[in-house]
This record gives sequence, C-alpha cells and structure tokens, in this order.
Amino acid sequence: MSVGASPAGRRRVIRAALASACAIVAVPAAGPFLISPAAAQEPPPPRRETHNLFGMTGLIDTPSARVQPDAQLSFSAGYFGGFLRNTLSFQVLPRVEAAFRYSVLDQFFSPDLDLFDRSFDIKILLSDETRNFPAIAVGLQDFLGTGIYSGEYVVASKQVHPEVTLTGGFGWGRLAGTGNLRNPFTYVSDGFESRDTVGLRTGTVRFGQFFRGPDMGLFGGVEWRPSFVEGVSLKAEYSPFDYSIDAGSGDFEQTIPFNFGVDWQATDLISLGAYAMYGSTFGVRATISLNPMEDIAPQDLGAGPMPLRPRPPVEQGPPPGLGPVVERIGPAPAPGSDLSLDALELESATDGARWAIADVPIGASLDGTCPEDMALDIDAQLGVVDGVTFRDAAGAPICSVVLRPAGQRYVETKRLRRGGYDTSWFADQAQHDAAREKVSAALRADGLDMVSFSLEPQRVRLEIANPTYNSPPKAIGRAAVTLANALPPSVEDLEVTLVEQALPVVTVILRRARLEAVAETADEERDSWLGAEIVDTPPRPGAPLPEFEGYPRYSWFLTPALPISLFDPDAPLRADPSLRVGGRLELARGASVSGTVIKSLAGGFDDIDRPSDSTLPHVRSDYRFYLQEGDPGVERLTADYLFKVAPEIYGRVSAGMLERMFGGVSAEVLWKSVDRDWGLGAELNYARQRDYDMLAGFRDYDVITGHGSFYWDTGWNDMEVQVDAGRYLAGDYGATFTMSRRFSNGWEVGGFFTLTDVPFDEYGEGSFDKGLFLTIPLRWGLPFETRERVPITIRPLTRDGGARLEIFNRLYPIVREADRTDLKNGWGNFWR
Amino acid sequence: MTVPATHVPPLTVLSATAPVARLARAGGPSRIIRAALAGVGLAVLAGCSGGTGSSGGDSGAAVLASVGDVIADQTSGLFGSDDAAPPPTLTRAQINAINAALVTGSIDESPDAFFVALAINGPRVTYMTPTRQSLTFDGMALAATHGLGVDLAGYKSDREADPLVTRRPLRDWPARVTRIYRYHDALGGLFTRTFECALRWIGTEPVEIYELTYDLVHVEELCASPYRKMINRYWVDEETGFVWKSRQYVSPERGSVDLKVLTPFAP
Repeated sequence: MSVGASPAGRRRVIRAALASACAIVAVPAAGPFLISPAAAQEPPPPRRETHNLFGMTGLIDTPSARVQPDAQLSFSAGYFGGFLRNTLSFQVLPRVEAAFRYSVLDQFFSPDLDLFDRSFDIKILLSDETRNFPAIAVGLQDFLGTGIYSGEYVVASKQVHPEVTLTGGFGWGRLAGTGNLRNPFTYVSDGFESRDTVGLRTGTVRFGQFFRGPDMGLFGGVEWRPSFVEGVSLKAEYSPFDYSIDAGSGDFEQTIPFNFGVDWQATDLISLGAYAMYGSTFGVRATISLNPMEDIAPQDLGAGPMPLRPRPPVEQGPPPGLGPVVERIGPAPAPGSDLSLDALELESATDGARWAIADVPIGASLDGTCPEDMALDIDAQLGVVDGVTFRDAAGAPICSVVLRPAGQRYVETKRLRRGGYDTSWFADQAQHDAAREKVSAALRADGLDMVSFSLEPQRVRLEIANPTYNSPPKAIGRAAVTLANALPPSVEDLEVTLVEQALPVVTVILRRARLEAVAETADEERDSWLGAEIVDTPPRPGAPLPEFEGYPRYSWFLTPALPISLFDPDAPLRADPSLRVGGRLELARGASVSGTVIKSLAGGFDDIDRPSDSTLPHVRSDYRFYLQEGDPGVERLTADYLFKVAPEIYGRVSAGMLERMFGGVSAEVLWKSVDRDWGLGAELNYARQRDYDMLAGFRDYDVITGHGSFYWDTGWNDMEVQVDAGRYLAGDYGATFTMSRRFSNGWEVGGFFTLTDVPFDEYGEGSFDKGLFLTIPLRWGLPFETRERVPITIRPLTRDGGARLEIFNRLYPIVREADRTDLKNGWGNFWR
Repeated sequence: MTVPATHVPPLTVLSATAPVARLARAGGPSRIIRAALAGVGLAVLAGCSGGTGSSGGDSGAAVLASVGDVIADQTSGLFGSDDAAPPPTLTRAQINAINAALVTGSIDESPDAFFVALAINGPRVTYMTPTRQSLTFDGMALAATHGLGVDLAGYKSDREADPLVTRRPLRDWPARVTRIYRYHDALGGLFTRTFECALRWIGTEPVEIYELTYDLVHVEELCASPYRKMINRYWVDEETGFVWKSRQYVSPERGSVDLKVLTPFAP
C-alpha cells in the first residue's frame, strides 16, 4: 500500500518533448483501416455518455451499463469529501472500458497521513440495449492495486424515454455497502463468505476476492437529459457505497445514501459535473475526453497535391488489331440495320471488357465509314458489349466502334501495350540529369528528400526519405504523382522505396498508365491500391543506384522538453522545464553518430529525496541521482550502424552512451517481411551503469542483457501484441508482455507487464513491473504536417526488477508502419 | 453593362454556349497579369497557408510555377501582407489575356481566389491556385478539393441524371438528384455522405461576374443526408444549362464554396 511514509521508488519520469521541426529523431508507428470496395456511409453521431466521480462511464458515484464511443480516451478529476480521484480511462474495445486511477484520500490514516492510491478498473459490456431489454455490463473496480476501492458489479441500463435512462445493478465489495442483501454466491459455497484484503500483495490481481463477501448491495439511478437544454444531464442515484472504512477522511459523513447532480458537456472535449453527495457535502468533476479516431485539427490545410497530368496519347497509328477507332458512347436504341454479317463472335477481352468481332461479308460496302449503327445492333443482339471490331474477309481489322467507357480503357490499354512512346531520350545524359533535377526539386517542394534515383527507358527507381508526412501512403502518393508528371512518357513502371533512418523499408511499384486511368475517378484510392505491388526492398534496391547526395551530413536541433515525475507522495506531480539539444552526423548510409544533451531550466526535480529500498542492483531505482546530478547531462551519445542483410532482415549495431543510465554495446537483428503481420527480433547488449553526472564515466555495475522478441499485428481492432523474453538489467530472467491498440494515424494506447524470476516480495512494492503507454501524433492535433510524436509511459512504480535497456532506435518501430497491412490501411491518403 | 446570358460577348473566352479556353499554357499571362493572379491567389480561401509554386508537370504547371515566383517577389506570404490593402483583383481585360480556363472560389465571403485549369483526368478538370489549393470539377459539379482545411475527397452521381455533369437546358433539369460526397476519416480510410437533393427555381437574376452581367436562373437545391442538411445554389443559363456561378458543398467543417466561372473550360 502506498502511503505518505511508504518506501521510495514510485515515480516515473515521463518525457513529453515537443521536438522542433529540425528534430532528427522521428518516432514511427501507425494502424489499420481497410479500404472497402465502397466507402462506408457516415456513421450516426455517437451518444456522449457521462463519467462518474471514478472516471468511468456512470452516474455520480456508481457505474452504469453505458460505455464510451470506441477508442474514447478520457482524463477525469473528481473530488468530494476529501477524496480526489484522477482517472485515465480508455475504451479499449467497443465493449471494454478500462481505467487507471490515482487517488488521494485525505487524512486516511491520521490527520497527518494521507493515502496515495493507484488502482485499475475494467468494465465489459455484455449485451447491447434492445427495444425491450436493457444493456448489461459487468465490471471490476480496483482489481489491480491496493484494493481500497475494490468492488465488483453487474449493472443494467435502459432508455425508457428519449430523455430518460434508468440504471440499476448489484454490487460486491465496496459496492455491497452496509449489507442490503446476502451475497447469493454464499448459497453456493461458504468460501464466498469471506473477502480478505489483509495481507494481499500490492499490484497483483486479486482473483480470489471477486464477488466475495457476505453482502451484496443494490444501486441505481436515473439520468434525465432535458431536450430544451443542450448538453445537460440531471442525475439522481442511490449509492450503497460504504465510506465508513475511509474514516478520518476529512469531515465527510454519509447521512443519506442518495446523490443528486448535474453534468454539462461544455464542449466536444470538456465536460463538467456538480453534485450533492450523501446529504452532507458537495462534489465536482471535470473530464477531458478525446478520440484518436477523430481529428481535432483540419488535416487538409496548406499546399495540396499536384494533380496527375496524363501523358499525351501516343502519336501512332490505330491500336493493333482494332483498325481506326470511333466512339459511340451513350444511350441509343438499336436502329435495326440490314447489313448481314458472316460471323459474329464475342471475345472476353482483358481488363473485363466485352468485345465483339464481326466479319463483314465479301462485297459489302461500308462507304468508307465505320458502321456505328450496326455496332449498336450487335450490342443489342449480344447483350451489352463494350465495343465491336469489324474485320474483312481476310481477317484484317477494318475499324472498331467503342460503345462504353470500359471499351475506351480496353483500347487505351492496347495502345499502351504497343509501347509506342519514344525512348530516344534515354541516350541523352542531359535529359537524365534534367529529369533527376526536376524530380528532386518537386519532391523538395512536397517536403520529401530524394535518396537515390535511377532511370531506365521504361522504369524509374526512386528512394525517398519522408521527414514530413505522418502517413506513409501520402508520401508515396506525392512521390508517385511527381514522377508521373515529371518523367518522359515512356517511363511506365514507377518504383518508390521508402527509406526510414537509412533503411529501405518497403518498395511500392506503381504502373503509370493505371494511375492515369484511375486518377480522379470515384474509387481512385482502391483502384490505385489494387494496381500497386508491395515488395520487400533488397539491401540495395536494384543496381546500380548512385547516391544522390554526399556524405557526411550534419543536422541538429534545439527543443524545449518537459520531463514529468508522477506519484511521489511528497509531490505527486513534478515537472522540470528543460532544454534539449541534439546533433547527428551521418558518415555513410546507415552509419551515424548522434546524441542529445538535456539541461534543466528550473531544477524541478531537485527536491526528490526518497531513497531506494531495493535489494536488487539499483539499475533504475536510483534515477533521482541522474535527474539531479546530470544537469546538464548527456542523455545519449551513440555511434549506430543500421543496415539490411537481406530483403526481409534488418540489423543494427550501437555503441556508446545508450541511454540515461547505461552505456555499452548493443546489437539487434530483425526479421520482418512486408507481407507478414508478424516479425521476430533478437537483441544482445553489454551494458555498464553510467555515473550519475551523465557524462563520460561509469559505475562498477555491468551486465549482459538481451531479448528475443515476437511482434504481431493481430489485425483485430488495431490490436498489437509483443512478447520480449530474456535477461533484464538486474540480471533477472523473464518476459515482458505488451498489448496495445495502434491506429493508422500514429496514436497508440497500450499496457505492459513484466514477470521475471525475482519473487514478488523481493521485487518490493507493486510486486512486478507494469505500466501504460500512450503515443500521441502531433499531426492529429495540428493543422500542418509533422511526423513528431509524443511518447508517454506511465509506470505506477519504478523499481529494479524487469528493467530493460531503453534503446532509441530499435528496429521494429522503424519498419512496422511500412508493411502491406499498414500501407493498405492508410492508402486513403495516397491522393491526399 | 448587362448582357443576356445567351449573348456571346465580344471576347471568345466568354461564349456561354461554346467554352473555348483550355488548360493553362506557358507564356500565356503577361508578367503583370501573373502578378495580379499571384496576388489574388494568395488571398486564398480563408485560413489557407502559403506555399511555393509548383514544379513538375508540363506547360500548365509552368504557368503556376512562374506565378509562384512572382508571389515570392511581391509579397511575404499570406500572413505577411498588408491587411489594410484591398485584395488584389483582376479586370476583365486581364482575365481575357490569360490563356487558360479560370474560376474563382471564395469561402465565408473571403476575397476571390483564382484557380487555373491544370489537368484533365477523363471527364474531370482540376484547377489550382499558385499556392496549390485545388478544385476538381466533373462537368460543373465540384468533385474534389485540396488544401481547403477539411477537403471533399470525391464525388459521385448518376452521370446521366446529374445536370451538372451532363449539361442540358434548364427545362430538362430533374426535380431530384442524389449526390454522394466522399471524405477522409482520421485513420486513412474514406466514408461517404449521401445527400438527396430537391431542386427548385428561385427566379431569374442579373449576375455580375467581373464586369459582365448575365441574366441567369437561380436554382436552389435543398439536400439532406441521414444526419445533415445543406443547400447548393446554381445560377444557370436557361438555354444551355451552363452554370456560371454556384455555391457548392465542400464539407460540414468547411461549409460551401462560392464559385464563379471567369473563363469556361473546353477540352
């Protein structure tokens, strides 16, 4: 249990750095969304459900069977009677709502001793509301934590009137209250009579306590949303919640089990609530709520894409086998011509066109014109054809009539297949240079960097680095249109390779004619995707690819940073405004030296004085010394070499100050194909603990650490799974399990836990390492393009077991957004 | 001056019945015209950011590129210009000197931005400003936008039934049209909004478009999707069905754009 005088080591520095435009490290990520054959209709606007004082969807102090819209992320602060509850909740899945809460219970132990409590909740919607039946949900409150708020419930909610919703439920644990009903499970087994919380380890799931205890409580209430006041909900509830065990918390006393209040959805993001609580006090709540699946900033401001300009038609004779072509497109009745044909056959042409071949009898006169009326007759006779070719008795084409747009495409394809575009330009080096310069300049104007460029008469290979666009398909689309608009007409195959941190991660091959055919059509995204070939890029895509710009290259950045420390009972929230400066020297492709230095501006962490009580090697729990003595401190200074050894195999070698607390050597290999949603990795490190001053020196602790990793993009509700098994910094062996929901716009919300051979008792408070993480793409909230992302990791405690090296350029995050699934999900941005 | 809509003005580019202007060609506008075009182009739809001229493409893009250069010469960008100065505009003589199809666009009463025809993709024509905002039309229907904040990603209708796509005299316009608009979602996918629209004639009005006044029929189109309502307006040449001026829907967030045809497009 974490109280004011409890042991140290419960703070976690959260780094939320707003990197500047010249930042050299972009953190990658992204997620799924299918391009369906027909884009879905706009969904109805979701009903915004209100939060309760626990930060979960509910009434005032009790839950309801409502949940938030899928992926809704909310932060709530609720206060009444000496209880402050700060809750981060997330609609993990459409039916699963989860929350992490940090509560302060005023004077819980004594007038001088507050309780600082961390807890987790989960609620599962079992059934949706129907016309006659309510929605039903089951929930676990404080199922992983100290258990101070521990309770379980089954709840139902039903809208009985367009403005009125009723909620009622059964509760166990804290929700059983003072014993309204006997727990029915006790009739099944006497084992349900007891509900011990004494002696339980903190930070573990209390499976054995669920739905136990002698009593079961009833709770319920009503929510009225008057139609004449927009955004307002009036609430009344009966709450059996028993606060007597929180004795000493302020001056709060329960006089009646009823609460009343009003909620107000002030804006799309913010809702507020005010309540009369238990007949003796007042409560307030504020919630900030957002959804990663809905942009909050306009995404289309600024320079749009250049329109794709189709090549001029090939200047040549008629398409092979068709003769002169006339078009007769549009509705017209068959005129009933009397010209008889010797033979009529239908061939299923390529590209899905139906094409008729008609042999004109010997001696028949066409008067020098193509018989369009007869084509209409054939159309009527055969039942919809896209065109007709008339042949003479010798089988030679006389002429063709195109009747439908599909026929137009068929004819155009025939023309292209003839390969009629002039390729004589290829012999002229000046034209190569001009094309390269034209493409390079256009890419720069679009915020892309040309890495390499290779031109053939009918093919171009282009490697681009994308420092600009949050969505990789958008970068590919801009590059493809640039190539199509700039290159000589004979260049048909456009190969665009994305390069991330010098690694060619995927190659997309596009056919220029296909792009020209689908641009500005109703299904241009889908049709361009269907015509795209996605392949693993060889270590050097094709040969030879002259490097376009020379080495070495140098870049640097200076940016504000705001490290945050949470959950220290002495000061639950600390921030340390800082400046971070970084530089990068790229010596050759994939080989670089880079580092960052941080300098505190306000000394916001200087007063942290909680000593570590860890019996393990202090690999993390002495972090306060690094914060206080490493000012300025070298956060990282490494020489790195990133490379590919095969189309699907990536490698990394790093040496230097790998992270804030450790230096050494690190090597990693990753197998990840663009065609597979899973990958395997292995990493081996020799790490030595750095001096607290975060300069060049080391302490006398070193360790060989490493992991084998399994990565899997499940394809189900954007869920990703990662398992890392191996040896950790304290020399302990175990595995880290990570599950997250990663959206294709870069948002990621997830959780992890690590189990190692360190016993829970030896690990200390919390029993094992666990936490939550968020990645927020700045593009989501900004009206201009940026790839910057804010990664946030929240650990309830920072201790020494299950601690892993923090390597800034692990391979999987670099490549994962560029596989087939991710590209497909984001392909709607291709023409954007 | 007031002229009947079917009157062929003395300038060939303004023929209501036979539009003749084509894609922008290099060397078309004089430097002065380009300067004016560039300046006006900067006053693009409210809230749009600046950018540089385009490159790539062929001659039409070169016109825009040169216009962009002039912008760089003359102004310091959208937010750096003198707010007190009246927005640059074009005279009819200047418009006629530009050898390109030209439309203007305005949102929320913003100064007109000038869009030059730049690309043909099948039946669709894309017009662009020097700062790379663009409008794509299918016939006279606004089919896509780029760079307007929250863009219209695509448009679909029954080509035969839609009088904006298949032009016809006003008397042959249908009473109802289904318009399907397509949008980007936040996750790289797309969704549609299907509007059922009912058309009604408001009456004949004189409409001035850069020094020329036409007698046009104002047609109002009330549209409803399951969750939204909006109104399109067209000012139509009764005989040819050509829409010289319109107010067409972009997106719920961006509202509608007011469009005027200065120089009609002809393939």
